[in-house]
Amino acid sequence: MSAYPEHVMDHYRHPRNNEFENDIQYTCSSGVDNPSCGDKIQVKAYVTNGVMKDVAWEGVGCALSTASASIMTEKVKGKLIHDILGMTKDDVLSEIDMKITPTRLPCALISLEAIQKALRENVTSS
Amino acid sequence: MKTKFPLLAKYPKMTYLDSGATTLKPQSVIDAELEYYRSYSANIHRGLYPLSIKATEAYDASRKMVAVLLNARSPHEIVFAKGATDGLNLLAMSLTQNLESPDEIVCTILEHHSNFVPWQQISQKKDLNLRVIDFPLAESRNNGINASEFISSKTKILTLPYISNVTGEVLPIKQIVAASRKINPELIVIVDACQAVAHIPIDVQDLDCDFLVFSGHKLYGPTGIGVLYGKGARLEALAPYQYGGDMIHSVSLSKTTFAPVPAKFEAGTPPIAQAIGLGEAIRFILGMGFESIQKHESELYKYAIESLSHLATDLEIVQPVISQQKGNSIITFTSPFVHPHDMADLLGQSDVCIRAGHHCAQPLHDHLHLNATARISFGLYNRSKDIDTFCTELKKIIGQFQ
Repeated sequence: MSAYPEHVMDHYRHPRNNEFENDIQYTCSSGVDNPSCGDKIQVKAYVTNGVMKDVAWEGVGCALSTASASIMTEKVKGKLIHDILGMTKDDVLSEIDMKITPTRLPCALISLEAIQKALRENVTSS
Repeated sequence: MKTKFPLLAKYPKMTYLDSGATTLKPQSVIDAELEYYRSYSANIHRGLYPLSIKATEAYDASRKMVAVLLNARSPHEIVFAKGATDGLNLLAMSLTQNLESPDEIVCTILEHHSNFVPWQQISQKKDLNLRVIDFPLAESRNNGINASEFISSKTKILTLPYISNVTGEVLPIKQIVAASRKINPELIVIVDACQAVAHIPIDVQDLDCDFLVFSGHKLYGPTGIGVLYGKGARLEALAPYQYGGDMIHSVSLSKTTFAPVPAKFEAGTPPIAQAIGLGEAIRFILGMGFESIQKHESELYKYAIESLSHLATDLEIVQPVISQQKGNSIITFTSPFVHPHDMADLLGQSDVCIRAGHHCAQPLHDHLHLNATARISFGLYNRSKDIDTFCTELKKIIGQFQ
């Protein structure tokens, strides 16, 4: 039977960091749309001393983009901004750890794109 | 039937439900195209040796087949283009040359991007008024067409799809043209017949449209070839879109005169092999007969709608056709549990081919407040077993996500 791997379905059913917390003073945010499929994601991050202290996201999209957002926001917590900005498509693919066809790549990558976009805006504004 | 299509013979477990995106090819079409390359792949028109004459005759014979398919008055009303998109861009550029504000172009919210973006771009460049209408299909069946709601004396061009590639609805083109001409006799009407050409017989004289386009690859024919039909007088009056060899009569350093229609619109060496393949595809479909195609597809459509409703998984069909129309072969739907991309990806892993996304109709999706949809569409090789397989796999996938 065709199925996504169990860990991907777990991140889809119980997406981590999937809510903006009222008591966190996020320092930067961004939004990314993929008009070709309707995936939309908004990311808010709390950055101090060059470290991603906290990050959350909200959005609509397919299971892959949801699971990716859950996986990637978990991955980047506590990391240096510099390192996060250096992450690439290959890092995302190895974190998601599932075969992804070229057409689905944007779904998998939208979360990192949004995270990095937010951080770049943070760097510009600070 | 499946034995006539080599791809299906090669992959017997394939469930191909994406004919709206492109149709699979019969062996005879592949053979016709290859035969040109194998046996008479000379250039057409100016050659004086037998090979070239044979190529020219085959190319011209294909043009005649298109004229027969559409019931055009003559093959001179048939222009070979690279595809429907190419034909529509030609029309958008050439027809608007003499237009200016406040001239108006009308299209529908159903348009495929290829019949929307060219008009949008040229309207913006030339400050023309582009009106996008939501044609009231159900109302028009009950109360007739009130063309004054969308046509005025300022309207120069009306363009619309014969069959929507998302909702599958069949527009009453003949009645729309007639009602529109009562208000504006000079109106130019362009029909995008891409989703209709393989499913219903098209009679351009009966429809009385000025232009009509379709792509060969949606008619069991090759990619890279399409047709622009135009009423003789309209084509005569139309400026060329591309310049070069074959579309000229004489060329000097200071002046060029153009070839007569349709050569005027066929600059350069055309897709000869593909045109020959298209001719064979038309022979193939006319051999099947539209009556039997329509009967088969409408039974399949009815079966699909019933099967989907029995899945009992809250599937929502996008604007289901209210009454049985001839030519229904497209069902677009969403599930509250699974995103179309996930559906299509996982179905694809079981060799069930459907399409997901916006189907080159973002404005329509915005209008319907839909992010993305899934779509199945039939060809004459589909059987009820394909629907069964699709439903079985879809049910399993939805089960994982519920």
